[in-house]
Amino acid sequence: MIKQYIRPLKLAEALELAKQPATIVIAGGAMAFRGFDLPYETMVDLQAIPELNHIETYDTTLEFGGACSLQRVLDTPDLPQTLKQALRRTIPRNIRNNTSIGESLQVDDPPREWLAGLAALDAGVRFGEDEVVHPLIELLENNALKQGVIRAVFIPKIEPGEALSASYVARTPADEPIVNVAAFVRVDNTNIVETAFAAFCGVSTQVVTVIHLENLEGHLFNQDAIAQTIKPIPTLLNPPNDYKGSSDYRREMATVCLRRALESALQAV
Amino acid sequence: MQIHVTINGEKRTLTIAPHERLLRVLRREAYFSVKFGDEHGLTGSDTVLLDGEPVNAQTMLAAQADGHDILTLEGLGSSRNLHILQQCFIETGAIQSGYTTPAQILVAYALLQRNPNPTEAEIREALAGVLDRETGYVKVVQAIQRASAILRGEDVPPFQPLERAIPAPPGLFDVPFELPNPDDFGSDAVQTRTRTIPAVVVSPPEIQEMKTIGKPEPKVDAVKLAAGKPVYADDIEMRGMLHAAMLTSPHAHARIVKIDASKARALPGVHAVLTHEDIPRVYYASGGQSYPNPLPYDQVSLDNKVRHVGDRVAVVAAETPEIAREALKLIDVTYEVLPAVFDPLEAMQPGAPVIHDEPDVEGIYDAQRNIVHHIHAEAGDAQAQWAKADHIFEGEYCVHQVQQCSIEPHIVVTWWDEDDRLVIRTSTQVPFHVRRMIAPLLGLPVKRIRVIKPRIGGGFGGKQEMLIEDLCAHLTIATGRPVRFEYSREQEFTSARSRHPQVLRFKTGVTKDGEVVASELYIAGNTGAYGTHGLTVQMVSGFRGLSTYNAPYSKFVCDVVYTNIPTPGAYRGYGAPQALHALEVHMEEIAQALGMDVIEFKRKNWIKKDEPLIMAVALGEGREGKPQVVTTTALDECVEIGARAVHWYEKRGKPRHVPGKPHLKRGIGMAVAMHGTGIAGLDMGAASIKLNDDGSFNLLFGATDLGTGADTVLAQIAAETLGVPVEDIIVYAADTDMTPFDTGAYASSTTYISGGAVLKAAEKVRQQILSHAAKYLLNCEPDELELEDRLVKHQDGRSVTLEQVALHSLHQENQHQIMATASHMSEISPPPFAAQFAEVIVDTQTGQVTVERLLMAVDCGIAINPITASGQVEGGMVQALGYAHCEEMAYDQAGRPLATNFREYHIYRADEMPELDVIFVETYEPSGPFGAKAVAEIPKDAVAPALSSAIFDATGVRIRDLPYTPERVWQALRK
Repeated sequence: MIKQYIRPLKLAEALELAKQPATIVIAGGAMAFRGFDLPYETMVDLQAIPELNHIETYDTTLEFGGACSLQRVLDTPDLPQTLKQALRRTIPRNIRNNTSIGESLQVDDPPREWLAGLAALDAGVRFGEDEVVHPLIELLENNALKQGVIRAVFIPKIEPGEALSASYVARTPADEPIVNVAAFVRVDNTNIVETAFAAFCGVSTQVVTVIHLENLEGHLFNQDAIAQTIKPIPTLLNPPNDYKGSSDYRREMATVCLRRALESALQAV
Repeated sequence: MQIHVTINGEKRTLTIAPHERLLRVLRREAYFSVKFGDEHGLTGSDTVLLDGEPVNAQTMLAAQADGHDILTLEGLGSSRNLHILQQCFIETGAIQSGYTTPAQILVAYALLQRNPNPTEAEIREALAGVLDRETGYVKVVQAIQRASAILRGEDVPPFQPLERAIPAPPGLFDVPFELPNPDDFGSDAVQTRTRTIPAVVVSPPEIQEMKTIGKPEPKVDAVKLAAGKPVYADDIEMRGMLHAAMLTSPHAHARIVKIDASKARALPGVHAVLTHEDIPRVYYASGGQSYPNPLPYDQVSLDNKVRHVGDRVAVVAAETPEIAREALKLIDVTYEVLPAVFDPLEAMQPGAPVIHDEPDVEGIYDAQRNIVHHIHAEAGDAQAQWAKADHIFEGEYCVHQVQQCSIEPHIVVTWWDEDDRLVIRTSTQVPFHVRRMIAPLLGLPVKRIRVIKPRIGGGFGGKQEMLIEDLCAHLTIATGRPVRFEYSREQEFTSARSRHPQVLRFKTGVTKDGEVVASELYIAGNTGAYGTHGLTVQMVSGFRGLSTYNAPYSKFVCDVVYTNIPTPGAYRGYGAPQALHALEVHMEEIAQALGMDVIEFKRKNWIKKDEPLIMAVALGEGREGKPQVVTTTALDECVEIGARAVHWYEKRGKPRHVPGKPHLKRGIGMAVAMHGTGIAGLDMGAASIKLNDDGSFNLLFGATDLGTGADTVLAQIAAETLGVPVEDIIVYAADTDMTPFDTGAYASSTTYISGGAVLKAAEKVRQQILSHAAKYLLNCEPDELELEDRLVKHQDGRSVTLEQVALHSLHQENQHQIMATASHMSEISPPPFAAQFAEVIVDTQTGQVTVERLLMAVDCGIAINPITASGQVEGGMVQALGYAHCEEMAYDQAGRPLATNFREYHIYRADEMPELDVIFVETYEPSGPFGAKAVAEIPKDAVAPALSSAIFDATGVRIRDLPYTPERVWQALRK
């Protein structure tokens, strides 16, 4: 049970407080405070720390302070459309208003399409006073997203020749996805693929599985290349088996969704 | 700690505990419009505006609001000064139970602040965070659209909710309904493609226009609900009130070997801990049904055995909810875990775990095989009819378990009053049953118990149960203190009631001409851990499954089976949705096999006017039934009008796909439904009416309005009879001390049964008024007088006001109270009928089904209030859509529920709705008040088979099992 509530004004103070045991350091709470009794004794509220509430637009990147609400993120003009759709489809505005971007990455069951989109796009995360920006993919692989207070999230803009696309399968248009895929593709001016990543949810025990689509890189981006790329996907996945979808179904859907995401990317680049 | 906030424009300094959620603090400060819906903030009923933006008060610490500006509905407008949004919610009929109305109005207000001219899609997206289990969102969207236009200063005409046609002119239904942009489908965009049209009423030509009957009168409770007044069970604070919490079983089947509550009892702030060792072992059946409750009596308040995950183990009363929950952790329980069984067919096999092995339980058919009831009923000449059959068709259909999901959870407050009588303020559909059923459990006579039903935040059958009242009352008895007990959302899924899963097997004999001559239905009904409604729900399944087509020989065999899943019970439709899904899919399969048009085949066989329902006597509800004949039906017209409205004949059987996306195939489907109107020979309602000094009337009845608009409909019946506007009828219901008896709100009975009582009482009062006025004021015979426009009018033009009659009769001459009480029951249950149409898009690569449109054409007799009736149909169709499409109570191998919140258990949101259309095709049912039949449950009956029909039309595959998940469709497509 929360016995102490602290709202520091400076980042350094928050980081010091974060070292206390049984402490949650967060802005928002709509995703983190589900359930009646929270397993913390102290809440350090980040809402009043200016360094965590900024939004910066750089040439190729957007920087969001870790305490920015998902609604503010969504309202940012240069945020890639696929990420906007990911935020909008399953997360209503009242929850977006009181979920910080940092919280959305650190809760136990993060929003899947949002996370997949960020992972595919190679978003970066900066913790505390650390100057290093960690690739989200690396943090996901190492299960290291909860290592500290998220100071900022860096989201690349979509440049000419780039596309971030997504696809999902769900029971209804606003239901949580059974399987979803986000694919990022960058091509050169001859339509040769330079970089391609896909991030999957619902296909393993991990929240997100990121696959570097090396087979696609160096090839002309077309339907044939997409067909070749998706072929080995089922063998790379070990999906769970539950009432939402069997392993076999999830494996098949991973392929269908990846193909659709890549086809959308092909239209977009 | 202290926080400084501005609430509704007023600066406040509040003392709070650091752990307290904003919801709790606001409610403590009497902002009761902010509602608890779930512990996850996913219902959105807890919405407030924080600095102008909607947030969930349940998932936010009050401390986080320090320094901020909070707006609750109380700050937007009061009942005497309503905001335009509140007014429009009332006018458009957007309010049913009203539980989520404050949140909907707040998110709409926030939307209009940032965007004064929103599109429908933007309105729906704004509403996405507030789940509505009642309205289907249609009228809510209309209300916001209307309010936004008024607020922009536009010249907005009076609200016209209905397009009434008496009778339907040619071409009325050839409306070129716009279909959504095909390119939207299969995209990742939020799908907000719904359009709303007015409900259409087609009336028979002989229907006379009346003053209030048939008119879209605003709900009598609408103003207080729109204003967010404290009208629900939890909207009360009592000095010294304790908070209850319940320890539930983590095991699907186990014996409690030892239970030690000493540490919990020692925790400061704990006032009582009750286990099976503390409460007398009194057997009962929890289903809220008439006396005598159907057997078995297989429950006790707290037992030494648990039979499903979520079953009761112990209860605690403590100073705060936190202490109560903390105490639960200190109760030391040693379980002997037993083998469990979840499938009803397995549960009947030799060697299966015996779920009720207690020796003293009463009324189980075969406890060793877990068979609670075995039902066998048949009618007609089996040998002769089967001999006529040229074809025999068989099919097995499986339907699953779903939850009612009323946004207001089960909530009860109990206390001793000044006369040492126990008061139970509870969100129940059956206050009188609760009083009678709880008395022996508590060891109190009925006369020492008073049950008060305030407004209810949705019920849908889930509150046709004496579910938690006994435990709360035991805690009040133990402590002497008021106690409040509310289920969490998780407990709603694990420890409340739900719809029975069933395995249904139809065997049907048909002649070569397509005439159904024999029909047999076997059902294995899964009643979970306890019997409760198990018998009656399965009997209704049998009756409904064998009545629409009324084969001359019909046979029903059923095993009602115990398993270790959380106990199903009553859920709107009460066995009919299961049976009609199987029946309608089965009938379409037969039509297909015979090469007949599905509508023609069904029309050839469906029951017609003046035909008896062959199974009516054999299958009552828990007892022998009454003979029934179809007295009125517009099923033919419903099907034809509905088919024309959806362009059935142009679309059905024609391959269609989304342009440019051949994997997205379109389909259209239909199904028909017949339901009942109350339980013949069983349901009873009573009403009292008295005349006041000013010519107004108090109308008291025991019927319980769950949000359906029943109070309004009953007031309309009284107003029409007494010649006054509805505003002159002051409604009070239901309170076992104050109002007459009523069996309660279930079986689609309120308008017909309770309405019959109101009509009788009003007729008696009318006669008294006429007699008094004739004798003392107008010096004439009573039959020369009429009541109209608040006047007693003589044929010669003289008149006196009702106020004059009231003052004279109360104060001046032959002083007496003009009042009457009447009861009503019915030996018949005239069926409403409906035709349900559905249009879908099936993604053949993923199996994902997207529902584009649902249209129901309904014969509910005369729609007393078409706006509340259409709200019933819209909301019912959406619940039925969830049943067919996405909702599912699922378990792991140990019987642990996997979906206990609204993220895992998805119910339809405003921004993903299909188009919803309602057409009333009226008949005049002579036995009903002003010609009315029922409307509440029939919308639940035919959506699932209509979707199956549409999926078949789109893809050629037939799905027999619910729900139509992407994988189930995908697997069928691969076969």
